[in-house]
Amino acid sequence: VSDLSADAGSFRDPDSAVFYTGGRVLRGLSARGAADWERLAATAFFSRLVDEGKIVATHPYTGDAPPSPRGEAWATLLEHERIPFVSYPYEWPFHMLRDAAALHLEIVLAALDENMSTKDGYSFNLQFVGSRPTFIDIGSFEAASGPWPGYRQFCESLLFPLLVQAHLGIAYQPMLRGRLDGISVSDAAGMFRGLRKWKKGVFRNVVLHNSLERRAKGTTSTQDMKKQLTGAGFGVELQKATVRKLAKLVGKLHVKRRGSAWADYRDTCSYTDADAQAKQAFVRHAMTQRPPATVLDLGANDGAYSLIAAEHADYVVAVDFDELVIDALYLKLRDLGVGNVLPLVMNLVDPSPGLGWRNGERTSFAARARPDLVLSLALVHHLAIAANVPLPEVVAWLRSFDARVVVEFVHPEDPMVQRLLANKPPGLFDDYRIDTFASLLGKRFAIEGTEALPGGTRTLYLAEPR
Amino acid sequence: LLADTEGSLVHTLAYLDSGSVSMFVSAIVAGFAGLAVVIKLGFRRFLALFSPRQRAALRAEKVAKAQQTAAAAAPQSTPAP
Repeated sequence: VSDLSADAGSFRDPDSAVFYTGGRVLRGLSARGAADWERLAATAFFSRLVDEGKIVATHPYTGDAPPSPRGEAWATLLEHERIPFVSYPYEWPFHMLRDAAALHLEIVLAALDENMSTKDGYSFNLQFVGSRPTFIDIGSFEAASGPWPGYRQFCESLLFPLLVQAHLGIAYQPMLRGRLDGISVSDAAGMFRGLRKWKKGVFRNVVLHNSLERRAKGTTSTQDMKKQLTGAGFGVELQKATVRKLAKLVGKLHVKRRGSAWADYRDTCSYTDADAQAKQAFVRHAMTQRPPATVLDLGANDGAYSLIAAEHADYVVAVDFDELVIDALYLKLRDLGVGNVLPLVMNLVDPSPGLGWRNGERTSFAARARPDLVLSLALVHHLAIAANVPLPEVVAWLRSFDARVVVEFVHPEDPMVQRLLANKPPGLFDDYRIDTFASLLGKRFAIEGTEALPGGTRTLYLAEPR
Repeated sequence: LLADTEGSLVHTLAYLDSGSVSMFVSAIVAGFAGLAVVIKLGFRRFLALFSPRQRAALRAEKVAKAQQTAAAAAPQSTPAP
């Protein structure tokens, strides 16, 4: 079958790997993986958590499959429910990462009640469907014995990033993007020196962990340590105690917010009420005229237009570089129970690249973003003036999504643009003009609609790619 | 046989998967019950994590034990006729 393709990020576990065919997400399992699956499928917690949307829906599948990454045939095939838009922990704000960590632990605890556990504790075991985290690594479940094998990975990929943000106010996203395994034990220890060692959860999980690791080099292999701990009485109940303590700690982590330039944008921006109403009507018109399946809201800020789009589209991905506004949007979506808006933190001038083995384990934002409609509201001036991206390049980038666009051009005389220009040497942005922009847009898109907002300093376009 | 036993032992000792320390720490994270397991595991092994001298002593003990086992398992040499 020609359309079978392996997931480039699913090769580390010899007993399980994901591949795709005709838009379906499939998983192959080795004989050992199949035995674990049968055991999992017979548990009560699995069907309960699938029903609650906490574990991805999974069913047996019959059909063709590529061989495993090691060239062997699979014993069993499964089909998973598709995640509408794959996102990564370095694109999640604090409360998304915290909820993902809490769900991972909740799942391990539920599994331990039925003598199962997970063989790892990786943040990439989780995905978000809108504002709901869900556990996707079905191949991770195995019979429980001894200590939790996922503890270290949980620390590096979930707990330490949360500790760093909550206790030190340092953004973890660049660190997680820089090292897919997460923040190493020694790096975390380097950040918690002096009195910081005594912050909640730091001494045992970071300081002691690092101190023992530095001293213990070459003494005991993992299997040997597991044998010894199990022999000394470390059983499922103690694994449960470890996970319960971690869950308690994660639940207590909070982040102190000091405000950001964008947190009160809606109150400080240069719109009039009439501008806002006209803009909402324009966006609604674009949505209802031809309802899109997927919308990408670039520079979404508080998500006001994402929420309008969500009334008409199947799924909306709301992207903004300000972690604070995206975190607030996530909490709002979670509290309102909006299930079809995915908020992500990303600098659009420096979007997520392809990472990991052969740059393919985690795909770039450009490769994942395949919308039917792009919202680019009050964004172009930031790219063109604040980030010095040439105007033709901004339009070429909008065209690269191969989708309809609703784009707002803020005129040079608008107070927001004046503020940006005031930080730059005069004469650098003489080509930042409405006629230049309209001409560039017209070359790459067929312009279907234009509207000048009542305030007189903003123009909206609805355009179809040529 | 002796060389083989010693070789594989050295190999095992040289192999470091830092997961072993994390497992140990996860026992401590578990609270009092976990600490009890750590104590039961043996005070000397715990000390060995901190002291290179204790570590060397433990390692020498292991090698000696392996040599003894190997010697006991080897066939007795027959005296010349």
